[in-house]
Amino acid sequence: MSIETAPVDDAPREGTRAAPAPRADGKRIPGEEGLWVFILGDMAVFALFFGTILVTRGEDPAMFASAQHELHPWLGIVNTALLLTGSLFVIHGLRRLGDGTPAASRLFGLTLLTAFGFVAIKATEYTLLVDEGFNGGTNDFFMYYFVFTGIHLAHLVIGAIIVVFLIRTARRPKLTPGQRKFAECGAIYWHMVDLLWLVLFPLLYLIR
Amino acid sequence: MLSRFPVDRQTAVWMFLVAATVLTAVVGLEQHGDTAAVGLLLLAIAFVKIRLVALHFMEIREAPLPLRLLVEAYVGVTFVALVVIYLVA
Repeated sequence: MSIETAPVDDAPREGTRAAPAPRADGKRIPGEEGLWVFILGDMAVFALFFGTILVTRGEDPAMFASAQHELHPWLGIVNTALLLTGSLFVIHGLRRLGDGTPAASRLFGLTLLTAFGFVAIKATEYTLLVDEGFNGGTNDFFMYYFVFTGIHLAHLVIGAIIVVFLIRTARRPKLTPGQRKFAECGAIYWHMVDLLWLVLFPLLYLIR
Repeated sequence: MLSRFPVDRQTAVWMFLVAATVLTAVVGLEQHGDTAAVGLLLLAIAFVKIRLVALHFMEIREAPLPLRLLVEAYVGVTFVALVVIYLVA
């Protein structure tokens, strides 16, 4: 569909009018500056969660190991693969954005499916644990397990809502620079949800 | 579906991340004996993975130096802090 044409000097190219001038060093801020304040802030809060998990382990390694043994790690592994795959679809969707084909919206749709899959598996895990007699009041491990995975799940649900908007945005025949920027910010948020799980998963399920 | 994608840099990173996830899960679940060494290995692999996500998925490798340094510092400082807590706490 897309035909490469040589840009005419002095004529602003379609969709780049509101874009900042390119930097001399060729670098660019992914998304936008303000987003990174939020992303790094959120990641710092999760770093405290990560530390809290290991402090809890240090206080009572036997309790930590036996509680961890009750989890369903393979469900967590499938969820990790789902998040990573959702990230891959987001990357390819972003690449196809505005190319005049439905590819981008379909790829974002696949990301949404991975999000549904993650939520369904997490719900299954919670149900299994509660049925087996474990809940947030069982001990410190389970309290942090439910609180931290719950907060992460809330992030994922917000990510899924953003992906719904990405699907709608991707259906537009032409994108403004603002819409493109929104899509890029949404993608970065999704990757953050992925990134946080990549540490939360081994800390809760694997590291004894 | 994936066969329609060319195996570009980010797809290659995804393949590595999925493979590393499965392999480290097997190591983590089958661990016997010196759990501290396994724990440190799992922690190190997790932080290699999040650095790859930041650099290649979030495109931090193309970011201006201050932002890249902030993200690299997050990865480095959080990793070191967790290792210290893991070994000392």
